[in-house]
Amino acid sequence: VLITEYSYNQLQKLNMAWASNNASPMPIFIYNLLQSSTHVVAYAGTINNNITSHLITVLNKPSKKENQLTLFITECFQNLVKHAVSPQVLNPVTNTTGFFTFRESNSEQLIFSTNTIHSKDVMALKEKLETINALSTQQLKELEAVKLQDGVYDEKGGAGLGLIKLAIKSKQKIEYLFNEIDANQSLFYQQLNLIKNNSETLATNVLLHSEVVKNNILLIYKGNFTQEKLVPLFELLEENLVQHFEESAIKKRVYLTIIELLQNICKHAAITNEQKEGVFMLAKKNRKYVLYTTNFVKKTDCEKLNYYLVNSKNKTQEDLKKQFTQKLRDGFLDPEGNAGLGLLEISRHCEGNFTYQIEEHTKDLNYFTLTVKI
Amino acid sequence: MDVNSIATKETPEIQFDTKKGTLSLTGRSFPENAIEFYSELDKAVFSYIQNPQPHTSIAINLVYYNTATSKILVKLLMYFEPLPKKGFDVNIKWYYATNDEIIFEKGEEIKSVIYLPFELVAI
Repeated sequence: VLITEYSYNQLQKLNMAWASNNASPMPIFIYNLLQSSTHVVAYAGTINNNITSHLITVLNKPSKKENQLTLFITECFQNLVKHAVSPQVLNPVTNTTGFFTFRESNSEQLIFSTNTIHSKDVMALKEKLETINALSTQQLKELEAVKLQDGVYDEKGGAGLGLIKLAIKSKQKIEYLFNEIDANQSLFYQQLNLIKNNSETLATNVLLHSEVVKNNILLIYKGNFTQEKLVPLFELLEENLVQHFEESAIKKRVYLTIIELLQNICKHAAITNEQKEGVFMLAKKNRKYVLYTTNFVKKTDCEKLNYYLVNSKNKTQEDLKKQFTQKLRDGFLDPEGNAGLGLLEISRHCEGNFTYQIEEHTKDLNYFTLTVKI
Repeated sequence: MDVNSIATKETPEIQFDTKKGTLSLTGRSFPENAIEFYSELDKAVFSYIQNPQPHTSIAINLVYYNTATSKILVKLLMYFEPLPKKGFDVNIKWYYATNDEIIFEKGEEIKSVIYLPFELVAI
């Protein structure tokens, strides 16, 4: 069953039912939305050509898979760039509706993207998608050849080849959905599942997108937290989110906090499914940058973690500085190179404006969620 | 023993010239294990202070670094502290971009715990 057979209202009902059953704090709710995937990168904001290479590095695929994925992502982005209209205000932070998600598990590998299009273009795009989805691979190749020979380009410089290429390469139907915002603008959701079509995932991703817009989320990463992932993730944030920072000191504090948060997960998260699984999110709310991390912690480590958290919270900036500088000279590093300074530093950067939750997950593990506002 | 390592996206360029008595760290520093990354430099500095040059110049120009690095930096700089009393000259220059108040503050912080001539230099 293709998602195109769902109406948007049906989806909304499904989403609301889902949401009411998940009255968890937002980061855990998002974690649950992403539960079926082992690896997720979601990005909301300006879509440009540089972002593809950073995303590919974060996804870290073997070269053959990397080439295929690069092609898919490039085509998706080109579609977004080509067909998107600038909305009045949809996401006040990013000032754009461009949204891209890559999700992966043993049974799925999908690219989901969203952008705003002119409502008057909906019917034509729908027809185009219906035509493409009705064709066999051979027919698609013939259509591609005809299009290439014709050399007819539309007013946006597209030859209508992007969607055809995606359908040929993926050997899957393109899942899609339109949601009319008003008479002028509509949201266009497009999903390409490289393993098999799954309408439920599209519904989850539509819900994920609405959470992203509601919470002004700029980036979500879920997966294995290793140093190899940290570096490209940091670069992606540094280069593509730079336009959001009005003040360089805030930017620096955010980036330095991100380094400490991500390395905390790399070093201290409990291993589940053979990896240090966690979720990192960056959002902007009321002129503050909000950094969220969710990961698992062994129950036996929670007492120590709690000590560090309490010790870093409810302290004046002066006390935090005193404690930090004292540890710089007198403290010690354990063999893994941990200085025990990370949470103190985070608390200094956010002036104590952080909250945390430790909730039971299994008999041995707890969820640990940290929210830092800068 | 000299140390020369090129910068990566997560580690700084290190140049330690024991004949000239110069040490510089430039770039970013958030390696996965700071102890492991700086172990070669740690050994080289420890060996150098047994037989130092009359003048030692240390230049630190880091744009991003993690807390484990700040701990290592202090440890490395502390090695040089006994030298002035033995008649050897040591000076540290901490470089920061003029608009980078955080790196400036970080420099002041390290200066406050190191008992050596320490200059903050805007670039």
